[in-house]
Amino acid sequence: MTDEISNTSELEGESGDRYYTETVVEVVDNRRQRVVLIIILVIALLALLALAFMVFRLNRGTNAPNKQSMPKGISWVRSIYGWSNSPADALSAPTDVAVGPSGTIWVVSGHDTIAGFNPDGTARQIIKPKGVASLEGIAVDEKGNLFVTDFGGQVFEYSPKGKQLDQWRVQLPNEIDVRDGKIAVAAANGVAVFTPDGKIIAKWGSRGTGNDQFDLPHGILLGDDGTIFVSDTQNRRVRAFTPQGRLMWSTGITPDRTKQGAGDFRNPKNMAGPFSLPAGMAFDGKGRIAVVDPFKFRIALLDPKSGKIAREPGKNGKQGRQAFYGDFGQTDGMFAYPTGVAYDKTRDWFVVADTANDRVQIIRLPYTGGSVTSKAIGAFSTPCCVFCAPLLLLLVLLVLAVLRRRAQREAEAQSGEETNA
Amino acid sequence: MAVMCLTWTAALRDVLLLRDALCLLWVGGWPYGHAAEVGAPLTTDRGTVLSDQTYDVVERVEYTENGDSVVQWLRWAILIVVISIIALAAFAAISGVFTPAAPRTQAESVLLRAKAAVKVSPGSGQAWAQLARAQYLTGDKGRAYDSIAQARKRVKDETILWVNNQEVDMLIRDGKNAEALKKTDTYIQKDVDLRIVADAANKAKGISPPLETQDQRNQTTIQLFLMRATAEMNLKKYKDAVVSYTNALKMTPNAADVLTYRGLAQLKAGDKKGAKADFEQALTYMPDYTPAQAGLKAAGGK
Repeated sequence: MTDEISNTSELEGESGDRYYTETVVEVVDNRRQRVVLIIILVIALLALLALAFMVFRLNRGTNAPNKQSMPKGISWVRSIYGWSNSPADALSAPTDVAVGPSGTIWVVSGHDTIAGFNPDGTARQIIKPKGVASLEGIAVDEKGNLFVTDFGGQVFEYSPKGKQLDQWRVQLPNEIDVRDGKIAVAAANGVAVFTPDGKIIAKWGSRGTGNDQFDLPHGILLGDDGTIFVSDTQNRRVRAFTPQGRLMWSTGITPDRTKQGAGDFRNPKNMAGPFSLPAGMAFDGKGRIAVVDPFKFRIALLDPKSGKIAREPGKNGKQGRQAFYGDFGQTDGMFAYPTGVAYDKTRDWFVVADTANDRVQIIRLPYTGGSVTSKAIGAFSTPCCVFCAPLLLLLVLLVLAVLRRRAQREAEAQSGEETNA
Repeated sequence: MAVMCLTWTAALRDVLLLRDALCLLWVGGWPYGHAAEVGAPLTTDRGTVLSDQTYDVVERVEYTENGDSVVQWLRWAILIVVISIIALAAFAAISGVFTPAAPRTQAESVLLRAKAAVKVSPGSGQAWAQLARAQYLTGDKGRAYDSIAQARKRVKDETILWVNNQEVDMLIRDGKNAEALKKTDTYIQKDVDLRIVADAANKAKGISPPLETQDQRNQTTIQLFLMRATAEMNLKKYKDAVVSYTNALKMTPNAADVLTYRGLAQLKAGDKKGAKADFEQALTYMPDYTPAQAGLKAAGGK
């Protein structure tokens, strides 16, 4: 820095019994100084941008999919493959997922482990219950307690820390849902509704293809008005019942089992209906029902009143395409026999148990009723927020400090002028 | 003791250097000031200030009146950006962005499993070749070729063909088509040699391997021919590619996709008649195969 002192004026005053000299020095700004500082600033800014880009890329993981490589409508947020870098701690054929009140993702993995993950994909709690045969379905109540079905014939209740709170017997239970103090269980041959302490409220059904029968239902959902939605998996239909068990609607084509080869999935005629094997269910932000179909590798959105497949809003007020999302594949954003789905209302994303790919995927679908706030919260539910938030705070503090210092200086200058005057 | 003293002196010097650098950035001057020595008379072009009052004057010059407002703002901006860089790096490191606690994508998950497989059986060439593939897909290309070399060291049986295929695939993906082509020459010869050895051994034992094993074995050879053809297509050696596809078709005569590839190669080589025949044959096996339909249209068929 080659500052030049161009002008010096002297002021003399008296302070106590000591003379002091205040010299006001004007420094002519060297143009070179500015240029150098601007160059430094630009380099520093470029470095910051490069670092931010690198962190963003790393944060998503290597070979994260881009939008073009994914089926229409799906945008991938992240995948969860396990809770540590040890292959022993990898998810193994996850059967069902649930989302807790604070966005915690609960996964039933390998039929014997309940793994809890934070919304950013990091591990939160791993529960390995003893004395279970084959864990299948999971649901979380408003307090965060977990309800898990064991196909061996039990329903368990655990605290989020893994303490067993309750346990009762149900024959071959598959899937479970909890809402407003009611617990609905879909068992191999029927549906049962319980109070939180395991007392039965209602039950109906038997195993078969008939109108009042079920065949291994693998999805159940309690509506806010008490309606019970069941995906009657082997009968390839989704049905709605009143709280007393009266059928309201049914969607899907049930194969005629009396005919030879009616259950053969290799025959395209048998795959004609909207569902090949409807499984896990969840409500989206608009109250529509998301049903995941492992044999069509996709999520379907249904209207809860009529049971019809929802449609995307089209151009000029017309209805757009049917709301089916997903395709088969191993890369992120694709599905291989997915069986469970859950919806996080706060973050407007779906959590899918991508069973044959041994992972859980978090994806977003269009027109699911997510608000701008939910999108913002969702965007910040990443490890990114861990450093973005302090960074923003730091910047705000620095700006405040600068402003305060300026104000102080101005005040000092003013008081100095007053003293001089 | 002497070493400690030296270390401390060095540390102190570093701290002082850091202070100097910050001062330079922050207030735009060396901390030692323009008038280096305390007590020395300040000289200007307007005469000399009394020496007993100089100290105060120097203080004022350095720390309050240096640079105009633009310079001040530039310094603030630089400081904010530098602190942001440090904070971003620090928090990214803390939150595990650089060293994730668990795999986050399919590629990372595959790499993890491949690494574990190599750890369990470090003598398995196949495990090393799989690791190479995973490393290649996660962008670690240098290590991928190293792993191929490791695999090659460990493989003694026909698995070497599979390792060879991994290497050729990587080379073609890297755009090193000429090198890939050169290697396939050797590898195809190796394939033929191993076949002769295996056939002789089977004959001596009086057995014939199960169809499934034969099929798997053929798949490796077919893959090699197809990759060779891809390299030739990339190098615009269309006639050679047709030969490679024909070699592949000898092992799998009904493959609609390979027939279509050969048709496309023939089309590029200028043999419309041959191309048309290939597309038509492909469509007899797979009537709704769109690439063959499009090819047939391009070849002047229906």
